[in-house]
This record gives sequence, structure tokens and C-alpha cells, in this order.
Amino acid sequence: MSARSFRTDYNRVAGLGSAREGAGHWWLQRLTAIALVPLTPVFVYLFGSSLGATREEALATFSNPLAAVATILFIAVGFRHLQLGLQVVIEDYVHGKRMATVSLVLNTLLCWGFAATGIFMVARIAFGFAG
Amino acid sequence: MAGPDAGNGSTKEIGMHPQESRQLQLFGNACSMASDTHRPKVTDTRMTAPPGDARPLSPHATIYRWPLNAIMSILHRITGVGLAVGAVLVVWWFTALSVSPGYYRLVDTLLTSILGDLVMFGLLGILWYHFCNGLRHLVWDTGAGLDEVSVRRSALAGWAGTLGLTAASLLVFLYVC
Repeated sequence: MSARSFRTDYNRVAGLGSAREGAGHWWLQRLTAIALVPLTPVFVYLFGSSLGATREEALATFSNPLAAVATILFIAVGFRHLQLGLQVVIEDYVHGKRMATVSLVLNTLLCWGFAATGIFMVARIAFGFAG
Repeated sequence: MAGPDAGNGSTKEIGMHPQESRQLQLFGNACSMASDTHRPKVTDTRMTAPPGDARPLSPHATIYRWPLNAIMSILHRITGVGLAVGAVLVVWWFTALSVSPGYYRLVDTLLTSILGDLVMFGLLGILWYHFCNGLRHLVWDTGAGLDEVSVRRSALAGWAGTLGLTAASLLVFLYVC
């Protein structure tokens, strides 16, 4: 009989309803913000003092494990924070289902792409594999 | 509006001024703006009362003086979007540093040219603005500092922090590093 099913009530709705992540975006935006409070001054100092330096000086700065880890964390957390923030801006200002979806997908892909590139480059410098 | 005995003076009889009904119509349009794509064109956009009508009208967005905190709120968003540019430039610089001496020379020279200096200085400023105003938001999220006096005080502290941190980092980069 088609009206009755052998599937349980739970099985029919699993994955379709609230995942209890309603505040997930809001919370992660704050969590990344808190992490960026100490990371930002450290990164500004490291980057600002290396910009315009000789290549040898810059490579030496980011070969330091502490500097490399702080920079990688800043890039990872920073781009996640950026992605969450730009997502809200897109949701607010980009109208039309198609344009909004395309923008949101591009935002996510570009943020992860730039983050991965930045992390890889810093790691390559820190491990001494700079070309 | 038109009752069974609607004559020349029908609007006056039910206490509704023609301007008032027009405003209601405008309000209706504003409400549906977000969802519909073919919204009716608003032709009556005057912000002054018709001649001889001395009644005050609601403040309109274009003539309303923005409160300090409204300015700071939209600046938070604008600086956040601006920092996306900074983030890309930073990754570009690290890529150049990692790839080869020639690529590093090119990118580092560009970023420390006159235009590059201006852009990086601007980014430094908006980074510290976003940082300071972000701290205000984190405090507000705990439920603290939301009364009018505290908000005003933290707004001024936010500007002071922005200027102070920008100046301090410039001094460090110019004289310490």
C-alpha cells in the first residue's frame, strides 16, 4: 500500500529540517573576530616591516616558525571572516535568485582559493622551498 | 475612499487629505521593493507639502542628517569590503615572495610605489577602523554599552583608536623597522 510506508517518521525527515545551526553564521563571525583581535596587530607588524624589505630579509622574517604560524592563522581566519562578511553584504544587496546564488558561490570559492594560496605560499617560505 | 455619496468633497469628509493617501501609496511601494522585480514606478517623489499645507512631513532619507552611529555602521561594512582588496594584495605579495626574486621585485616595487604607498596607507587606516569598530560590536554582543551615552563614548573611542593605531603603526614602520 502506497499510503503506508515502512520508513520511520524520523527517517523521512532526517536532514530536511533544522540542523540547529541557526546561529552558526553569527557565531562563527564573532569567533573569527575574536581570533583576529590578537592576530591582526601581529600580522600588521610582520607584513608592514617586511613590505619594501629585501627578499632575503622578508624570507628570513617568515621563516621564523612563530611568524609563519601567526601569518597562516591570520590568513585562514581572516579569509573565513571575510567570506562570512561578504556573504551578508551579497545577501543584502544582490537581488535576483540567479545573481545572488552565483555571487555567493563565487564568494565562497574565491575566499577559500585565496586562503589556500596564501597559506601554501607562507608554508613554502617557512619550509625553505621558496623559488 | 469613495463612499456611496462620494461627491466633490469626499476626501475631506472622511478626514483624509489627498497628500496623505499618496503617502500611503508610496509606503506600500517601499515595502514591496525587495521582492518584486517589476515594481510600479513612483512618480510622486516630492518631499515638500503642497502649497498652503503647513503640516510637517516625516523626515526623508535624503534630507535626514545621519546619526554618528549610522555613519559608523555603514563605514564598518564599506571598510570590510575594502579589506577584501587588501587581502588579495597580501596573498599576491606572499606569492611573489615565494615564487622568485624577479616576481618579488616586481610586486614589492608596485606595492611600495607612490600609488602603492597610498593604497597600503588607506588599507592600514580602514583595517584599524574595522578593528576598532569590530571591538565595539564584540562588546555590544555581550549586552554591554548599548545605552546612548556609552554608544557615543565608544564611537569617539573608536575614532581615536583608529587614528592612534594608524599613526602608531606608521611610526613603527618608518622609524623602528
